Formats: sequence, structure tokens, C-alpha cells
Amino acid sequence: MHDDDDDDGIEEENDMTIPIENQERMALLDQVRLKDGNDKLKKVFQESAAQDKEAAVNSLNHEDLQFTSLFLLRDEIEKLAILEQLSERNQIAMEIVKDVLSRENDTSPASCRLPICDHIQMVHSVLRWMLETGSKDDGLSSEYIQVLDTTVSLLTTLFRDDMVLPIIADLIFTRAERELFNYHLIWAFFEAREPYTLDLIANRLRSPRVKEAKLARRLLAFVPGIDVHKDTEGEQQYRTFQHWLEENSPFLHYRGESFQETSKPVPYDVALKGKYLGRSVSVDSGEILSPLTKEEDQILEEFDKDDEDVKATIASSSEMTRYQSLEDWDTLVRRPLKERRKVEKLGGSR
Amino acid sequence: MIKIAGTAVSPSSIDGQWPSGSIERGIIDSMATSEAVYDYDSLDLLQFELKLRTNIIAASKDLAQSGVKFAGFSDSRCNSDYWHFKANEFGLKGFQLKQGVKPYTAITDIITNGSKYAFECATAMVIVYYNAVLKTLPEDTFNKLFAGIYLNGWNRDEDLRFTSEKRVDYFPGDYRYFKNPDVNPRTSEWQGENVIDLGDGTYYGHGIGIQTADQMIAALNGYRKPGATKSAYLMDMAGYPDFKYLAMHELYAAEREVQDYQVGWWHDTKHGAVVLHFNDGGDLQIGSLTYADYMSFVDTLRNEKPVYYNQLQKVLSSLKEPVGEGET
Repeated sequence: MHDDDDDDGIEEENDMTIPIENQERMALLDQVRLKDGNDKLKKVFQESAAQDKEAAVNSLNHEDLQFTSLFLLRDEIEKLAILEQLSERNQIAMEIVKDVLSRENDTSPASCRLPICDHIQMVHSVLRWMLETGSKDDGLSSEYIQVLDTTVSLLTTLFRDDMVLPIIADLIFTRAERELFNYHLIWAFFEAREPYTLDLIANRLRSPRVKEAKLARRLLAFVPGIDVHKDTEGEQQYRTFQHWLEENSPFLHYRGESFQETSKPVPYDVALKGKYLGRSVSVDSGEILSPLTKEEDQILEEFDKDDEDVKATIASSSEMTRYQSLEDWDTLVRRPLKERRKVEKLGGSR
Repeated sequence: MIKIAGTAVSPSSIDGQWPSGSIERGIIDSMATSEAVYDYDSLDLLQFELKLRTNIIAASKDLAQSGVKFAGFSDSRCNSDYWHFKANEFGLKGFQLKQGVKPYTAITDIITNGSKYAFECATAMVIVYYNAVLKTLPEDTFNKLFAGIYLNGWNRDEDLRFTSEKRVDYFPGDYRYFKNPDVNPRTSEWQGENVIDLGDGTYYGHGIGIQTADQMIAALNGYRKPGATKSAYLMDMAGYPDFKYLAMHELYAAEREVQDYQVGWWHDTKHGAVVLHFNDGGDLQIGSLTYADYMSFVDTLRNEKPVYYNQLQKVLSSLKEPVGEGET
């Protein structure tokens, strides 16, 4: 499926002119790949190894080598039996690639282990290197996509690394432009469970690119006011999102709903108890993080008896009052809910 | 509680046509003993829902035995005689019905030529629902309703009117989801399993097959990350198509001949009503008519014969007749 796209991707890179100052920092193998293409890279490496194996190994172990070059040379590395002479970074990366790609023929649960867990911190930094230096060559092949997808999943779920989320967001949208598979990336992005990074998606609501803005709307359709079908109000929808995030970010609970489960997933909902009392909640459980007083427990017990939509309205008005005047809010939250509902003309379930 | 046309009914008064121990009787008993009210305008609508639910179960078993393989989106395949690949905004490779191919033929082909197909579990759920509706509605109606089928994950035709929500009751034929919150990131496709409740304590999930809830959970737990603490579990939501909407297409798609009628005009509230009595024994009240609509009804009913009414399209019509009849 990706073969055609692969060729396009490589040609784009081949046309690039490498600035001189960057060439000095760039590993020789990367220079060859970017200037003359993947086949030339393999040829140059084979010739270099035939003349001087150690020099070839050193060129692979260059500090600034990009993951893409290592990935493309994995068959040559195997043929030359030089795996053990590679740097720790390269050995771990080769192990990860092998592990990911071998899974195709082995679907047993027992195979779902990284055999390198003893070097867990090193694995983390290698995964980052793979993503940071390899993401610009995304789409190289279906195998490469598979490796990058797993790299991203491991970084966000196992290492909870939110620093890589801007790169992942870029990958999601560039793949959408090229009609490449981005399902796992989207899942991994949300699994990072960092509500403030939703802004990386929301920014694209304003994009002049139709596909980009549409995907942003689909991903954020769980936010009230974001309409998948409205393609003319990007700025307005972005402001709606910002307002929603500002009001709710301390109270967002990650539900983990994905596109596998439904066509309109709701990955985050608002933990209304937290919002009502103005207390931050755990993004994982939705429970209030700090201990509650007896009085607060009683307030929440009463609050919990109401219908969800009534609770949402009361929690919102509570948040707004707290924002305007802490004193007023303190008085308000202590008033019996029955009285508050009456004031706000909300009704309620009992 | 079950209500038919606003009146509570007992299971014994409506379940005579199904054998004891059948899926249909089980559903009726569950509805009748529930705190929730299951309200139907007519017994026909309840019967349609029961028929479609049993067909959802049959369609699940059809797919389980069809030879269709499980595959991620990038490895999915289909019979190119009927479908072509089309990617969506997620880069997911879906199956678009080819021009000139009837939806009925293409959906049936997935079951009869299963070995030519491979897809993931959300697509499988949508196919089950199409196949079930196909077994329930007339072929022509199915082809009209689902003319542009595009199979891709949860993408489905709006006419299925599929919704999922938290429920107090679960019935055979419901869509359910087993969630695996601690899935191993290397095998994120096992983050959960979409299933159909088969009504006998088992569930059908594409890729896992027909299993009990415990077996489903055990299978998903096998794909958790090292050190996982949370088990897979069955979520408390259920999904289903709009049974009443689809029933309209079976029950009321045909034109019914009007045998006689009654009309009334409420001059204080300025609205009219017409009751049509059909020659099949049924009748239908059409209320809240404006004066113009009311007069159109009266005019047609008074001057034409025979007269037909199509409840789905809301059309009152006569037979084809020569122009200028009023002149003679």
C-alpha cells in the first residue's frame, strides 16, 4: 500500500540541498542518503565495509547519525555480522526494530515483550532518538511506519514522555495529508494523557488546509462547540476550544475512548465533582487528588444525587463564581443544592 | 415494562408465537421485568425489533463461519469484483462499494466468499449489522437505503442510525465493548474488542471468535503490558441500530389502499385530522393538519377511487388516470 508513497517521500528528500553548516555536523552516511538516495547509501556503505570494516562501523556509530540511515542499512549490518561492534544506541535500536518487525509472524502474547528491559533508561533515550531523527522520513515503507508507530506508542504509554507529543502531532497531520495510516499514532497521542497538549491539535482548527482542519475537528469533536461539519469557522472553533480547556483542564479525566471503540470517541470528560469544588482531579481516575473535609464530603454526596446535565450546569456556574469572587463562591457552595437549583431555575431529579 | 400503543402489556399476551426458551421470549421477559419502559406504537414494531435482533445474532454467526480473516487496516483485503479500496482521513484503507454493484450482492459476498476478505473488528461489527438488516428488510429496500456503502472501521450509513450509550438493560443482539486499559503499547490493536451479545452467555468478536465474557477477558489480558494491574472488562454501554426507524421501511414502505375515512376540523384551534381505514384492516390517524393540507386530503378522498397511502413517504395518491376527467 505504501510503496508508491515511499518513492515520493524519498524523491522529496533527494531534492533537498543540505546547507553547508549542517553538513559539518551531519554524519557522512546521512549526507550520502540525503544527497544521492537510499540505494547509493547502501552501495557506499558496502564499498566502505569491503575496504575497511572498522571505518564502516565507525560511520554507523557517528553521534549524529539519523535513525533512518541505520534502518536502511540493517540488512548490510546483518550480512557483515557487525551488530556487536555497534554502539549501545545502535544495538538497542536494531533490537527494537527486529522485535517490532518479527511480530508480523508471531502473534502470540508471549512475544509482546521488549527483550531489552534491563536498560530501560537507555531504551527511552534510543526511542527518542529514533523518533526525533527518523520522523522526517515517515512513510519510507510500511515496515518503517510500523517501527515509528511502535516507537511512538512506547514513548507515550510506557515512558509517559510528553516532550515528543509535538512531533507526534506533526506526524498525525502529515500522514493525513498523504493518506497514510495514522490510527495508532492518534491512539498513542491521546494515551499520553496530557490535556494541555490537546492544543497541538486545536491549533490546526485554524489551518487553511481543508484536510488538516477537518481532522482536527474530528479529533476534538468531543469538545462542546466543535462541529465536524463546520469548515468555515476555524478561528471561532479554536477560541471555543481554548475557553473549554481553560475552564476544564484541572478537571479532565481520561476515559481512553478511541476510534476503535466508536466513530465519535470521547477521550476526556469533565470530572464534575472536582469542578464543583474547584479541586484538581487525577487524569487517570477522575478522583479529586487532595483529601476532602467532612463538610466537602457531604456537599459532594448531595451533588452526586443530581442528574448529569444538572450537575454539569451547577459545576459550571460554581467554576464561574469561583473565578469572579472566591468569597461569593465560598458562600454559594455551602448553600443547600435545593436552594441553588431554585435560584438557577434548574429543577433537578429529586 | 412493555407498553403497546400506550398500554402496559404482559409477556403472555404477546409472546405466543415464539417457543419457550427462545431468544425472543427471553427479550420480552427482560423488557417486561425491567424498571425501564419499552414503548412501541404497535405490536408490529416490537416484533420487528425481535426479528432484527435474532438476525443480528444469525449474522454474527454467519461472519464467524465465513472464513473472513482478521487483519489490521494496512493489511485489509476485499473482493475487487464488488469493492475498491479508499482511504479516509486517518489513512485507513476501507472498502467502497463499486459503481453499479448492488449493496445486497456485495454484503452477501462477504459471507459467501469470506476467504477473499480480511479486516479488523470495528468493520466486522458494521458488516454484521448490514447483514442482519439485509436479512430483515426486502432486498430492494436494502439496496435503496444503503446505496453507497463504505466499510471503514465504524463508518456506516446514516440509515442504520446506530447509537451506543450507557444502558440499564442489555439484550441479545446488542453491540458491546470489552476494554483492555493496560494494553501493551506494542500490540495496541488489542486495546479492546468489539463484540455482539449472542444471548446465550457468549459474545462474537472478530479475531477472537465466539467466547464467553471470561474467555474474552482472558484473551485480552494476554496482551497487557508488563506489570499491568488492570484487567480487561466489559463496559456498561450498548449499541444498536434504530429499530423503529428501520421497521418503518418494512412495515410502512408499501402503499395501502384506503377503504373509507373520517375527517374532522377543529375550528377553535384551526386544525384538522383525518382517519384512514385501510382494506388490510388497519387504520391511521393523521392529525394537526393545516386548513390547506386538510382540504387536500378531503378533496382526494372524496373525488378519487381507488386511493392509496404510503406511510413512510407520507403520500396520498390515486391511480394513473387520463387528464381532463373533470371536463366531462
